[in-house]
Amino acid sequence: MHALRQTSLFHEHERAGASFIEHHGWYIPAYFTRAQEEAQQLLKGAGLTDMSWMTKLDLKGYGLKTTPALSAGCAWCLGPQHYLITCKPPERKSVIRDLFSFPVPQDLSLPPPIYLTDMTSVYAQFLLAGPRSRDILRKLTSFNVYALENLACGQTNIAHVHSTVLRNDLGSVWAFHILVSREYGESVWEAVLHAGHEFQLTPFGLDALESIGSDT
Amino acid sequence: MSFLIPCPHCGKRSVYEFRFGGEVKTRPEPDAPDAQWMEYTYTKANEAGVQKEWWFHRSGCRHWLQALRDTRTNEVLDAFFPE
Amino acid sequence: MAENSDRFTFQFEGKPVEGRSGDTVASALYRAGRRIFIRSFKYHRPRGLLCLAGKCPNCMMNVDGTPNVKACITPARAGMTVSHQNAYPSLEHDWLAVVRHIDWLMPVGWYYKTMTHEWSWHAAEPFIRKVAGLGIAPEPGNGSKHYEHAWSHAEAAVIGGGPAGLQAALELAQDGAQVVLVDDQPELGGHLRYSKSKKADPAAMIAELRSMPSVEVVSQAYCFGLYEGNLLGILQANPYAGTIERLIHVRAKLVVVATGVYEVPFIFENNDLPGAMLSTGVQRLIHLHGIKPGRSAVIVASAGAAGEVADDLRTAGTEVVAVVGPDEVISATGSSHVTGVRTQKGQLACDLVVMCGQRVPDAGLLHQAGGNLTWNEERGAFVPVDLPPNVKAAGEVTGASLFRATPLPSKPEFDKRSFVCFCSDVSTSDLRDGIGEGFNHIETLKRYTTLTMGPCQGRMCQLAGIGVCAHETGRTMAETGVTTGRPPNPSVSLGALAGPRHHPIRRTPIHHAHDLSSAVWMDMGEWKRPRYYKSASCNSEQACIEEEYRAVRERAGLIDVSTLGKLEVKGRDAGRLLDKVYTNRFSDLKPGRVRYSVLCDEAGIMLDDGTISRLREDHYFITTTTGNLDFVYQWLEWWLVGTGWDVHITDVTGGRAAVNLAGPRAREVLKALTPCDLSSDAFPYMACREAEVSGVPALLLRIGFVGETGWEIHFPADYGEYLWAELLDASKAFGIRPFGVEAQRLLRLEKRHVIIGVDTDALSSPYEAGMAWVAKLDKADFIGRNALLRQAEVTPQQSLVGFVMKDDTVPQDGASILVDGTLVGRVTSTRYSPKNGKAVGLAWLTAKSAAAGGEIQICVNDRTATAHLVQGAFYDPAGERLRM
Repeated sequence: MHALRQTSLFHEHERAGASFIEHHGWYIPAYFTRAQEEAQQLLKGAGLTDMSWMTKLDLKGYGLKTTPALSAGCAWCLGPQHYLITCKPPERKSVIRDLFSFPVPQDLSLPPPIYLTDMTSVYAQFLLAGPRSRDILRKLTSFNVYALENLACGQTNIAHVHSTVLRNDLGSVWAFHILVSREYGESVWEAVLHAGHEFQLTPFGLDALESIGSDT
Repeated sequence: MSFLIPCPHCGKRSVYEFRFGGEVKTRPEPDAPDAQWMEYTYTKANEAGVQKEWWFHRSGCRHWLQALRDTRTNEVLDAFFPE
Repeated sequence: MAENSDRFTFQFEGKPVEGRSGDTVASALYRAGRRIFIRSFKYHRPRGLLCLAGKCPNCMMNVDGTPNVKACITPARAGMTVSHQNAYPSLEHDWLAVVRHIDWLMPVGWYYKTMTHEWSWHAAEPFIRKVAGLGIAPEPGNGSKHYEHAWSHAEAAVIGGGPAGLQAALELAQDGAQVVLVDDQPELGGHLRYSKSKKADPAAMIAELRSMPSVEVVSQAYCFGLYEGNLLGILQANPYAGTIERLIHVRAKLVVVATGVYEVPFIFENNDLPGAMLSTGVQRLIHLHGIKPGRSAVIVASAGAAGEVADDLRTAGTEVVAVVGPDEVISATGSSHVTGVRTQKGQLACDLVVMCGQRVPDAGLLHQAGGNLTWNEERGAFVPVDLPPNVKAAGEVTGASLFRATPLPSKPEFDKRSFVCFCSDVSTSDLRDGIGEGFNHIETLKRYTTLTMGPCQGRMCQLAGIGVCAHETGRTMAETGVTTGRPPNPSVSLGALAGPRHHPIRRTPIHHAHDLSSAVWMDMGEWKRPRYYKSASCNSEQACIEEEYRAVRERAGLIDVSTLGKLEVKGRDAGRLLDKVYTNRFSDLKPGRVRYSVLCDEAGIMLDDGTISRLREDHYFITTTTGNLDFVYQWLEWWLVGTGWDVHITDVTGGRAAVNLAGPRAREVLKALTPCDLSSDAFPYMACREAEVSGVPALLLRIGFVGETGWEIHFPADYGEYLWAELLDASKAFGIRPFGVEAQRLLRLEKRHVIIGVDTDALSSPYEAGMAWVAKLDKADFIGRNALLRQAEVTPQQSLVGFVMKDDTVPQDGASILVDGTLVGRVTSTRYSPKNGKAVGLAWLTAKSAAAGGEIQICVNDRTATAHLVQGAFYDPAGERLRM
């Protein structure tokens, strides 16, 4: 099979004139206009990019009483004994190795300590970044994004859709990953762009993301 | 109605984020008398005061929690994940 | 002559009006000579500027297409378009002003008194709608302008940007609190902006507040509600170009209400004439806008109260003809503008009547918050007391600095043209008549006369109304009391409440491929689904659907079922949970097998159905109906709480595309794409296998909603369009085509497969629906077992039955059913069945009629059509085609 994976926003990007490249087996926009302009707009106001290609793993089980230690990726606590791992696709293997490196339980009557479900396809993932990103989010959610610390997460509704918000700043630039169930992808993407119109929010591609020093 | 519910995982959130799940009741044993099943299935205490209720944090962590709410003031005295 | 940089023009009624920087729409129009700003709600009386503070209803206009904008607090901007409302053709020459001269025909409560026949209202309504009321709502989808929502979280919210509000905000911010300061005027400063006798200058405080990052200043915004949990509704006008209003939900730990006081008019005949203005309004015109308000003024004030405004008027060049006490005034004279004042001492000529009215605490928010308003005789005001915790009052709203301007209750002159309520033209005599008719409690008087119910929400009229009521009923002000304050106050446009219309839409991973196949869409909750596909060979919807139907029955069809809810249930106790919650048994289901089941509540009512596949020992896969995913997830989680069982439920709906390939040739198509052995021996009906399809990892379920051999294929959503295209490609040679929801509904109806929630309702049990087989009563326990045990013992009261029409009639879903002229049931689903050559359907019938069998009459429009009841499916009753 030589098919590439499409994110829920593939056609949205097409309409916006995206130039696609293959990225870890996905069709991802490299740029929409020019990477430099997109990066500047992001740093000046705000930018929005499709990160659905990121690997997302759902972890549940009694083995998660503390945050799992990982050599790559991030672990986000979604509830008691419930974590979401985000990492780059090539890191998936090492993350899983980290997770299942614990000693085999002595008592074989006990159930497995961690249950893993790959959620990569389940969530559309966008990155809203820039100094005005919070001012855009406050137009879409009652969740207090101003109080969300870096590397912390919250679950809330964004544009009336259940979302997981992960704050993971790009250096000193505010940056929020927004995860929504894939079928809502286009709808929420459009709502975020609409709310960001006030701050000239524009979509940006992988090139701009890399140009501001993000490892993709 | 715009009171806050302190979700044990997400913190204080608007009641609009939650789905009400009714009063906390004990389910009868399978062979319990019909009257007991009747009571459990169809009746509510509807306390004018503090009552223990189910709430589902639909827009947040998607967990069921129990809350002690004063139905006269809508003050939520406590909210917790039941063991 | 060089154009002044601070001058600009905007349009009023299509003509240019000059504005200067700092102007509001109202001040610019006043400077340009306009005196009539609105025609009154009921009598079309001319009205002019009164408060100039956004507290009264006298200057509401249509600004850039938005009706009911208060012109006196809306900054004028170059290029804006302003027009009048509730007058035809113009404010000066309003044909409808004829109503003004027949006001005696319209006593208080005249709707109730005159519209005593149904026809009378129908006859009068079109005219009344035309002549009475406020502005005209804009057409939907009007232009590119929109409304916005926003949320704000603060330790403290301060309402009011006057000296007290500024002080409170500053102190809170200096203590380190995050503060939101809300003010309804174009600029901060409150009465210090125009009342020059006060020495304080707010500029320094304002500058300091603006410099503090922990303070968010929201100007030109009013707070319309203080709700439970200190939630504030704030409406901000024009937050940025292209936005009409922004509704901000502010959640604050502490709310400081510093809304100050406003001034209310005196009651005398013609007190509503243009030119009769409140003293603070006059001061605003003079100090904020540099406008000379008139040539000569009579000031109405109690002793000693006129000094400040008299000085201001003289400085502005207006002659002060006289200062008269409120009790001395008999009436204002003039027809469309004040020409004088008739007093007990004689007639005074003037073009301005300045009323130094009673100051009233703007305490509505405190009342909403649960505080009480109690009468204070000395201050002449209802003052806020008993405030709830975390709500505070600051400054003049507390009433602390008030004094009484006139004794209350005063002895009013009863006259049809002495107005108490300017919003809906309620006069003193209307109030007296209402009280005389028995509405003598302030709350009933309010409802009968609409006093306090207009756009100003009682700001102008409440105190005077209470005064009249107290006087007429012989009670004191305290005994009469205030009416309950409720949000919203002031009113809020529906557009602002609706917000930016971000209606969520759910699209399947194959959505765009359907567009390419000319799908005709339908909404299923938030989902978009192809209802059918337009086909070049079919000229009607019905023909397209039938073609899709025939493809499935004769060859094969492909339908996108990605909207099914999909749940992964993992853990050692997964089977135990499913046994408890579903009516069927799952702990004994073998891996690789699928079983259908329904969910019931404790009353035995069917809530949902779906298939459950066991993939591995500790891993099940559930599908739910499209609309019930959230419910089923919550239901399973709820029954899991507190059990301590090892079960983990994950919603993977978005991550899986699902298609159903069904029909006699389905196997041939699929065989070309997958290494999986599809023969019935290796892959029987109600089995599931994991295998690659066109190289995509997939889960195949051999199930048959449409009644043909088929596979429901679940696979990663990211390959949705790819695999859909692969399947269509492989199908080409077989004449296979995609089919939509309509064809699917027809196909399943022929098989008599019930759709929970369509063919069943909130009272349907499996026994009544003819699905007794789903209830495994021999299980020790499951949700609904107790109720179902009882139901198994009794004869059901109603039954879901199948029928076939006798003639070519196709009834409608929901049609009534008669037997011997008596209503005995209703149709739930019915379609024309190509297989039967007649319409077939499902219907609820009383048990007696169902047992009798034979014929029923179904209502179709104005006649009835005959159908006969049939047992079993309308198509392949033995289910052989599913197992081929």
